Amino acid sequence: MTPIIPSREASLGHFHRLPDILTLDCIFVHLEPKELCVLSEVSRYLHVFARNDRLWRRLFFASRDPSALRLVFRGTWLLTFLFSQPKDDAAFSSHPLATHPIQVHGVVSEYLHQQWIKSNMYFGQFYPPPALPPKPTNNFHQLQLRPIPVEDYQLLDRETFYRRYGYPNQPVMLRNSGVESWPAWEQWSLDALLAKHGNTPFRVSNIDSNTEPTFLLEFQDFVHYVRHNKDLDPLYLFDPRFADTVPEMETAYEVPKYFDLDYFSLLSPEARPPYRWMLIGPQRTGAPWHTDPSGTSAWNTLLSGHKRWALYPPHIIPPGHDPTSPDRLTSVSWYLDVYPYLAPELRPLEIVQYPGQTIFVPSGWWHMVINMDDTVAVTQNFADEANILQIRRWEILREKLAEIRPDLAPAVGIHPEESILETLKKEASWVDPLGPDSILTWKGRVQDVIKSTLGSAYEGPISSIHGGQNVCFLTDRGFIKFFTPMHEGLESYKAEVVSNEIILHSSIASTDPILLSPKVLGYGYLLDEKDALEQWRWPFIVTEIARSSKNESLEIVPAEDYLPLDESGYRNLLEPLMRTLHHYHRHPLPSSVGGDQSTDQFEQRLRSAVMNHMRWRVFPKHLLTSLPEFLPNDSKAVFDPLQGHKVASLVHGDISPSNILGSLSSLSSTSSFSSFSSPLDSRPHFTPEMLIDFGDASLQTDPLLDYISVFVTVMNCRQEKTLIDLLLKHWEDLPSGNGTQEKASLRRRCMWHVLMWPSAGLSMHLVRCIPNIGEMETWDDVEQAVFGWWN
Amino acid sequence: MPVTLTSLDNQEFKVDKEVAERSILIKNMIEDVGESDAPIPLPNVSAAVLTKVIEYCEHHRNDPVQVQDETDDPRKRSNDIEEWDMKFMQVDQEMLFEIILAANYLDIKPLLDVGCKTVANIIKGKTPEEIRKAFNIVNDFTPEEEAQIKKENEWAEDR
Repeated sequence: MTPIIPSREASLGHFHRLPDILTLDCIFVHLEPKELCVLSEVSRYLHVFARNDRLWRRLFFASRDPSALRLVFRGTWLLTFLFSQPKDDAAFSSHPLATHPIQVHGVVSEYLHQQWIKSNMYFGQFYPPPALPPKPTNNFHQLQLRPIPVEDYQLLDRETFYRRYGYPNQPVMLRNSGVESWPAWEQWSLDALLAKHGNTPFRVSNIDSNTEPTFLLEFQDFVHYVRHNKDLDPLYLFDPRFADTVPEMETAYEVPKYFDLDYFSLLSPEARPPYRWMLIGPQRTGAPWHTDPSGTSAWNTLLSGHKRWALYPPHIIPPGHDPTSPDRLTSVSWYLDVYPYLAPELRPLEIVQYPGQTIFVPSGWWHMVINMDDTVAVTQNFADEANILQIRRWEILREKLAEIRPDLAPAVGIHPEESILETLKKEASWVDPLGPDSILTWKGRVQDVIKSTLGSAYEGPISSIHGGQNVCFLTDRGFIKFFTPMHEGLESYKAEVVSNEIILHSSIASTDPILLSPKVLGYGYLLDEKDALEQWRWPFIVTEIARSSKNESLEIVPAEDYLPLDESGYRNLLEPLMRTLHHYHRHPLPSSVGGDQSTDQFEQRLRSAVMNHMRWRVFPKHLLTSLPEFLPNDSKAVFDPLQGHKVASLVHGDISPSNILGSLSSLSSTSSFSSFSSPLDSRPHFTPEMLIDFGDASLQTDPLLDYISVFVTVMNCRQEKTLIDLLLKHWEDLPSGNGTQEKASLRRRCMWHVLMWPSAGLSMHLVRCIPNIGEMETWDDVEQAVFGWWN
Repeated sequence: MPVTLTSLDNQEFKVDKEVAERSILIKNMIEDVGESDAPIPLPNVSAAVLTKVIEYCEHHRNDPVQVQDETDDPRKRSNDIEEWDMKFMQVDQEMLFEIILAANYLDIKPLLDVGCKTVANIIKGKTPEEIRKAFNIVNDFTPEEEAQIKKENEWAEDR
């Protein structure tokens, strides 16, 4: 008999026109077992589709008694569905489907082929490619990830661990930690567990099922399944209650010495969220891209098998992963469908974990795991000193913590600002002004403001703009900023109005062109004074978006996504920026403006600095402890014209890349694509045009405030001489105060200013620029590393 | 603000932005490109099909964003098609498959769902021969194969 090569068109009829994935996963998924059997008799193609085991896996779990602890896996889900009970053994062994199922040849489907590859591929040799040699680059902002180090547990003490990895929130692999002497090392092999706990039910995850995502299953049935399945996404034993089920398992492993502190252990067992898991994953299983719950960190010790880990730091969302979508790519699919197409520099950090090794996954890091073979592991999630600020469920911890660790009280206490914020959030989500709940409220407010300040109704487009702490909108009539109560919004409002008025009513004295500043069109409060007692009055300011560019159609964007890659880019950014700041620093003030207000301001900043840093916990603990000694006793040491310190008439006070607006001169995509396709030559060219946000401006004060915020946030603390020269170009031209006996060095005053900064952003930025800060012993070391160039 | 869509056969359709944005493809396109008067080309959809798709989107313009709720069994949902949708889907099969393809391309999940459920409902309750007729499928089994498969499926008859 000649083999029949079925014609796809004839055999599928109308279904021929649909992609197979639609036919299978969107249409046939609605069919009952009986209907699939009928389909299997229609034609060769439909036979193969109707026998697809993923359809039968879903049917099996949809019809299964969810409380059943047994599962008789018979090699395929169709057979498992058909002969689901032990009593079906005899019928199963003589049924034609089991003994000699019909083989239909010649059916071609790319989709089914992909499924087959992913369920039959051998991952035992799926090692990551060797790390790339460091490429010489002039790209200042390239993703530069430090490979995950492997440390010897015996040589790494607790303190060093926290300095190198805990506080800087960096991953590490630990070896030689004596796992071989844990009882679990012998007792948690599949065979040993099978002999001892074969009848014990453990919790199993079923990633492929929406009807039954997890269920309890006797261990013997799980092992039988592990050894006989050919699933795309196999079942994974993932049990948070193993130690309750089998108490002796709790003492079969040890928590590594760095992780003995877990603030969640302060909670009663009922209130404590799940925190430890026994993980038995057959090959091809794994965890898709995720971050750990509630901002916890985790350790994971592998007892047998091999796990390939991939990590991205918290600020990089893994390519191909959409955190907003409920559909997740499995590890296998990501490795086969996304990974091979990544540019080498976009690859994640990768490391293979061997038996006996422990990986530390820091809070907020994205990670994905693939089990290269059958694996057994134990893992715990925890909240410790290093991640306590990231822990999103700490409200339930707050009370207990304050009792046991009074020193942490500032970190867990509620700041008055935060309680105002809580109330505000209930009003309408200003966190997301264009969210479905608040868009109408804000639209109305924007229209009201335009009507009251500009005198005519407005129906045009309104777009929301990221404005730091404030709520900002762009309209055809101007830029509108509502000040929130965060960080003394009322003070910001006043500062912005005053400085804008000063800028508005003076002619530009500079001969060199400077960056534009917003021109005030109006300002005021949204709500009347009578409402002030109960509600935030929403002070606002409306400014004109003036344009210098000849081409009006160019898009205006903040500099933050377009920071320079090379020296000439920095020249284009820093020169006009520093010239502009210098212009304001020397700007004549109207006679009505009184003298020195800065002593009070700096006194206030100095007084709250230590408390702020205790709350923010941006810096490592040992540095925080010595912070009071490092800071001066008197704010006059930081700034005092009588000591000869230079004085500026108008200081912006909060330079950051989001406050520098400019235009892009290439037509390259400005959307999220740019992060993927950024060969140097196709990057859009950013030309700064405008300096905005004078909400932190102050008069007759220390110009260092602007110099350090440019250095830290715009230059990312880069110390190349050419860049420093650009930064300091106008410094010498600033007038010095009267007096000569300057005591503190410039670099010390810079460091003090950073530490006295009223919001956490500057410190966070600084810490990102010096990843080895955990290893620095004193503040002098930090100062030397950051400002050592300024003598 | 209306948006202009251009079909495969170069017909222009003016629809409200809100209606056009039922299609996630178009919604993302508008977000990426920004406000513009330029027509959006849809080179995979003919005018006849686009007319139907727009009719669907007009009717569902005020539907809340679909909440992903897949905890229930997909089979149970194949008979929960709304009355209007059911009528809307009473078209010849050619058109039905075209609508499914367009909904898939334009990323209009609720329309794709309704279309696929409609096809599933056509399959339900039919014999193999009726299914072949309904979908223009050729029986390419040998008689021996057919007999063997029937034997494999015997269990299903008494379920």
